[in-house]
Amino acid sequence: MAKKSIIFLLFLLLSATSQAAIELYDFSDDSYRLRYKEVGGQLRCPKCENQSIADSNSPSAYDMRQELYRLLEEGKTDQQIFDFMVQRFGDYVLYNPPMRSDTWLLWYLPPALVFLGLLLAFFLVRSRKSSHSTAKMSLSERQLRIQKILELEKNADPTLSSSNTKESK
Amino acid sequence: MEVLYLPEFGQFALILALAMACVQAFLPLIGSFTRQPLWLAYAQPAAWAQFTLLAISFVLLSLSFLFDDFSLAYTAANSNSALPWFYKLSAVWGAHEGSLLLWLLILAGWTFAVSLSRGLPAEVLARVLSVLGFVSVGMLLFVVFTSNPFDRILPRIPVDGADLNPLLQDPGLIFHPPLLYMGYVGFAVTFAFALAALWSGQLDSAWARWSRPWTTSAWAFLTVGIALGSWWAYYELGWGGWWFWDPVENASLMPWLTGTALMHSLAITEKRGVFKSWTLLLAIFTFSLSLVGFFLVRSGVLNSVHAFANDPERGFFLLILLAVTVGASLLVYALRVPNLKARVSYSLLSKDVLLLANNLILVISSIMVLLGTLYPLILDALGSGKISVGPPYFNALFVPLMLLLGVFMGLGPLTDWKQMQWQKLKKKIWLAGVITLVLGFAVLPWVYDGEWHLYVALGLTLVLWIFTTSFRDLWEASRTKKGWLGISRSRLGMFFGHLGAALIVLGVTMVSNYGEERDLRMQIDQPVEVKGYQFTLKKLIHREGPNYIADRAIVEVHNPKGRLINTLTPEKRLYTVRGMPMTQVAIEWGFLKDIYVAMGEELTADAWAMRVHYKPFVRWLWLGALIAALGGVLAITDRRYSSKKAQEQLTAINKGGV
Amino acid sequence: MKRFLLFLPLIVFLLVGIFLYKGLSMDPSARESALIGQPLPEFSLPRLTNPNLLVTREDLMGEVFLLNVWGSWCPSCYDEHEEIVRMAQAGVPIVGLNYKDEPAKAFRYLSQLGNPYTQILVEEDGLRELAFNLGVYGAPETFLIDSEGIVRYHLAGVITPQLVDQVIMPEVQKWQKNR
Repeated sequence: MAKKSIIFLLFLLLSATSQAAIELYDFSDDSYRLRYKEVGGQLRCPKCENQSIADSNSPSAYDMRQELYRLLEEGKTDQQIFDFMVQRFGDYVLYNPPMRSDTWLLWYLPPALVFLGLLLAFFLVRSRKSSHSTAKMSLSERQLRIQKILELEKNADPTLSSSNTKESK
Repeated sequence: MEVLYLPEFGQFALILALAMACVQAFLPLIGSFTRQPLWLAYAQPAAWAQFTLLAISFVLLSLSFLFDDFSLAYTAANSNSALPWFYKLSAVWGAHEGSLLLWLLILAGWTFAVSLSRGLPAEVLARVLSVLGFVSVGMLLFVVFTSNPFDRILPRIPVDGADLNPLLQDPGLIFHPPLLYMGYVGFAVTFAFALAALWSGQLDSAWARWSRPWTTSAWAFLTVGIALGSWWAYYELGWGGWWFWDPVENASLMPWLTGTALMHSLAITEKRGVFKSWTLLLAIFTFSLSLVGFFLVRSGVLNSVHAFANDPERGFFLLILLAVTVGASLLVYALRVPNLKARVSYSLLSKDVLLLANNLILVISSIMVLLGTLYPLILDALGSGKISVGPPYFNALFVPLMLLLGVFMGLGPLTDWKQMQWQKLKKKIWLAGVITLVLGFAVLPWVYDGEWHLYVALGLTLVLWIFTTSFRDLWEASRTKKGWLGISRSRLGMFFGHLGAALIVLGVTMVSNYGEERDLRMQIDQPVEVKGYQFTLKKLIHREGPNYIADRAIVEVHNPKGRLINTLTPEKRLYTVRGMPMTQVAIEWGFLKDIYVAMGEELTADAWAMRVHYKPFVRWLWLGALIAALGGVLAITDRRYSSKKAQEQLTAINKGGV
Repeated sequence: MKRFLLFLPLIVFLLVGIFLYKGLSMDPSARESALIGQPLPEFSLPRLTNPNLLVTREDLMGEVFLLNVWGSWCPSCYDEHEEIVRMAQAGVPIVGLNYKDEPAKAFRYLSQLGNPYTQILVEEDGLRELAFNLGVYGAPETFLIDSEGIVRYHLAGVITPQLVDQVIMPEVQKWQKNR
């Protein structure tokens, strides 16, 4: 079983080289040409190892490009073209993952993390600020305080070394 | 011929290296628990032995490639007698087993370098080497038991090899893997320092100071390695792209992002003694991401053109390795990080907090890339079907994150540690802000093609913001008695690092917004025009290379003023052994733009379908990365890291504290 | 609380690890057809044995059948042909779809290995009819269509004896009962 699926997969892979596929199309409108590139770049070749249909040499990618050209010339919108392809090949061919209930996390987690993270950092810093204000001590006062703290720590945990006292710049 | 027995020596050396790695890992560990300092002393010589043995093993594997020893399965699968000698050598790391050996050799190399450190207390060095030893042991077990490069195919030795994948027969691909591995593996050093610190409980900022040069060098290597990969993809693959958010590319970007955060976090921890637990976590994270990437590329779990041949058995072993290494270190972290409350304070507007925000964004960017890369796998595992997550997703999220990062990147260097008055900061940045908004957002976007585009404006604003603030910082640094010559190398390094980043943004902005691509029919002596440039196909020739046959086009390029600027010679090759077609792109390159011609299909005897790309400012992408990496190198050479100074400091510490 | 937060990275990592483990036993290339539960698309294709005769969707309605996409250029098709013959002998109606092929080569293939098909439709390269609309991207692929013309099962890959016994025949029987 494993061997047979490997043979099948190997067959699929044989046609997936990484070389750009260059065909000439006659576009009746220049905007179609640009959209061809854009939409082609967002559609995934169903049988290649991660290539868009614009970049793949495989026969199925070629078929999809031909259809893309036909649909553009028929005046279809980008969304209609995507729907056409998804109807046949599934959501897999969209490099832009669709917004479904189970991709919600994909889209919203990073911005949520940024927001939460910045908020957390803000509150963390604010709470610290109110509990410490050593800025106004004099140099000798500070030295004394440092010595005291070091002594306390040394008594509590003798393995602490005292090698971090010099502040370099 | 005696040469035929060499691979067995190579395999034997590998096994011995495994033994040495075990000594290097376990003896200091045991010695630490049983308080026997003599056992700690085994770490250094074991590290040297391991390095020597791995070097021997690697050289022997290389020799079997050079001497066309096809009785070795690995050589037969990746080489060919017609292959030029330098590609025979680079073929050593062209596939799974050999590249693993290279990875191990590089790890042993870094370990060796660390073992030469002066200025580290002996117990610290021993612990660091021990952790590195454990990593080595894991990877050596993997190689010896599942991925032995010295396996033979006997008795039927193939007459010739299957040739190196033509895509890899390129100078860029000679250097890309070694540089990448130097980066990935280099982060193991900081990882080892972090674990050693957690192990001993000594979490003062000396640990941060020791780790910094190692981290920055690993970062610099990774930066160059990634840039080289991007550059290679651009000129070799024929599609004119330089980044595809492919899982393997993402595997290299994730440790780079957290590695950048780590570099910055170490700076804060060293100078201010704060955020220690964050820095430790970042050190563990970064190397863990290196390993996760390692797993993703070699296990067959994800679809990628780059991926090595897949074998689920190996994948399982790798997963165990990953689980043990990362799981154990995160467990140690959770158990051993003490409840440190730093005795130092900082206010909201301070370099400390800005760096924290900076690191937050970098880490979240890395998480975002990981999420996007793994999401199809997650949904599939949950039975929700197959989806794809590609460039549209990553670009949509990465760009805003980088814009936000840029704000902090500009403000950070100009803000004081601990606390700064807004008035004082305002004075420093108002000019930069004005220039940025006026030139960057309003004026410059019009220059290129007479139209204003939002993304161009945002990109140029970011570039100018970083330029102006970095120059301002440099100017501030020069206002001392020593003037410009007195600026410390680490300050200068930061300047170039940020400048490099800004140049990358410049390249990306210009090429993404103003780049153009045309597929055209080129017929002999019939010029075609793209962006004002004229392309005339003059001749089509057929030629033969060492291991390929090719069709070559001679194309003359005239600039808009009509002057002949170059004659390009793109090729379409067929590599005969594997039967693989490949395009060799021809590029007319410059600092302001690249013109790129690729051959498509033959239409008639004197006409071909060709693709022409126009790529403004694309070189700045890779130049920027190079400059940033050089900034890193500059920072490491700062005199405070000199081993002489470190030795003095160590002596002072040993004498009873400063 | 703080202690718990410190364990968070480890917990997240373990979760990721579980998914990676599951990933090892999955195939990233395998794919469920988008047509499952959807009606077989409209088409009009010639027969291999009689190119002047065009077959449409209506001609196939009324019984449960398998649609097998094959080509003489496809090495795995040779491997699975035996199983198709076996299923045809068991009484399963199987329609062949000769995909991106040449008639002469197709005939040679059938004369070598036998013809288990009730009829064979021809979709030559560039036509982009039924196969394309079914989302076929390689060969061999096999679809199960019920008596109402709805696609109920899809296999992209070689039909093995185990698959026939454990999956395909049960599916065929299930949908035959469901008239």
